[in-house]
Amino acid sequence: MNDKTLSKICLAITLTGMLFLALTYKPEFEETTISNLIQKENSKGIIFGKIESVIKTGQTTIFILNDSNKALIYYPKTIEIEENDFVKVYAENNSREITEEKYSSKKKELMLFAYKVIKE
Amino acid sequence: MGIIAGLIPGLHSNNMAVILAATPFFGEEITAFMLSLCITQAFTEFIPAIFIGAPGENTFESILPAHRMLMQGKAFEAICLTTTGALTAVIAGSLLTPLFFMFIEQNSQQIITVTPIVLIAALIMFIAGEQTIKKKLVVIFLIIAAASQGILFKEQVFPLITGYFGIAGTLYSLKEKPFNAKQNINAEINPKIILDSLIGITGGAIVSIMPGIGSNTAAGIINLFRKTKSTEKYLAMLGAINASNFFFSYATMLALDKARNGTMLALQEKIFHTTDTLFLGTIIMVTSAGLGGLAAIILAKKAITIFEEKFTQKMSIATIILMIILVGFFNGINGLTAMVFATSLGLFTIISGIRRSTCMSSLIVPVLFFYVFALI
Repeated sequence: MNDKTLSKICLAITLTGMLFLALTYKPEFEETTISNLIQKENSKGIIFGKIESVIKTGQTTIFILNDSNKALIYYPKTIEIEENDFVKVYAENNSREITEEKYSSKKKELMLFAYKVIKE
Repeated sequence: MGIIAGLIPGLHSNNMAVILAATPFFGEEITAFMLSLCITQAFTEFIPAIFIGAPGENTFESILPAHRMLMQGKAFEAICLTTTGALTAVIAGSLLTPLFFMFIEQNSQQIITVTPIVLIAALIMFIAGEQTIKKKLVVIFLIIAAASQGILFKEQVFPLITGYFGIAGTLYSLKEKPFNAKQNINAEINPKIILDSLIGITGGAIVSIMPGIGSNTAAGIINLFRKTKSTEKYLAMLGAINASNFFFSYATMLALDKARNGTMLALQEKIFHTTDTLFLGTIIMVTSAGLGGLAAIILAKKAITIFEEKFTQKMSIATIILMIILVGFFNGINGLTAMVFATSLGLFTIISGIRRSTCMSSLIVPVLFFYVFALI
């Protein structure tokens, strides 16, 4: 095998990989609504809405988001957001895990986990 | 970015990871960026190691065999060998990932228990590898000296390896006649080296599971147990270890939720662990491996035209100055101090006629202490 063959193999691997990526790639987060997210456990999505209230506790932020439906969102970091701010949230419905650890079962169904919060 | 990071000795992907950790990027964006950077760098970082003798954290073991090939006019072939090894590792690694997952999930504790035994065996092999009692005593002294340096300068891996394997060898070569090896721009690779690349994958898997063991340490250990010491096979194996290390580190991070290097530590905070993440990461790494291989081949040919027939004493001096500047830039005064001590020990190793890989004790012994104290 010479260097030219090796270059061809590299090219073939690159093209095959790119083709595979193009055929199988599915965005991890797609735009959705709170109601869609809450209905399906472990689903992920990007939700837009207005903040109704914020609680900051040490290194975490909990807030209520309204996009015509309401959801309590847990963000494991601190962020400068206030009531009436509009935000985009990369969220996941893994509320069971969070509520079992930190909160009462009463809030269980409405708690979403935020990976990232962007102030609009 | 991976190509640039690979071409600049001392700029490890861990440095890039520190910068990226501070950015707002996360999820797929950062997964794609970091994995392609790491894999591409695994291919191109052999270029400075082979052409100017400037080692990287993962490539210093390649300097001695590659220098031999450089002097024979086979620098380009050396790059093709490490590229073949790395490509084989990434392709086989992508197929082996499910098995690797199951293995580490079931045996992670046993692997940690076995690690100090393997490291002690490596140190014993260094001593046993020498023929005379006098040389064995010198090796013991070297192990103690290198280990002391490793413990004293534990955050200074780049200056230490630059001293042992880069500057020491280049300084020593100044007293020899300048050579003018006409570099061959074509390479013929024996397909049998793919078998050695597969052995290298085992090394990469070990590195990705065992914290503290680097690609070079794994290569040195595997080489001690091997009967045939072909330069070509060794370079292919080193390329395979280097690439599969990153490949399997990613799988280990997803399977055990434990980061084995700085890059994975930064990624761990930024990605979401799902089956899709592993699949996406695997495809990205395979694609980047193809690009990295192409980049390494093209850049190595360019490097030949730059360096051809200029391997003079002036070139060696320029290389030494470059390495000092890089160490000063990345590691400061402490790094330069570590480099001076390491260079002295490296020179002593060459003059004594001892294998310079014994200097790896500076990495092996601190890791051994870590395991012994952690297990006790």
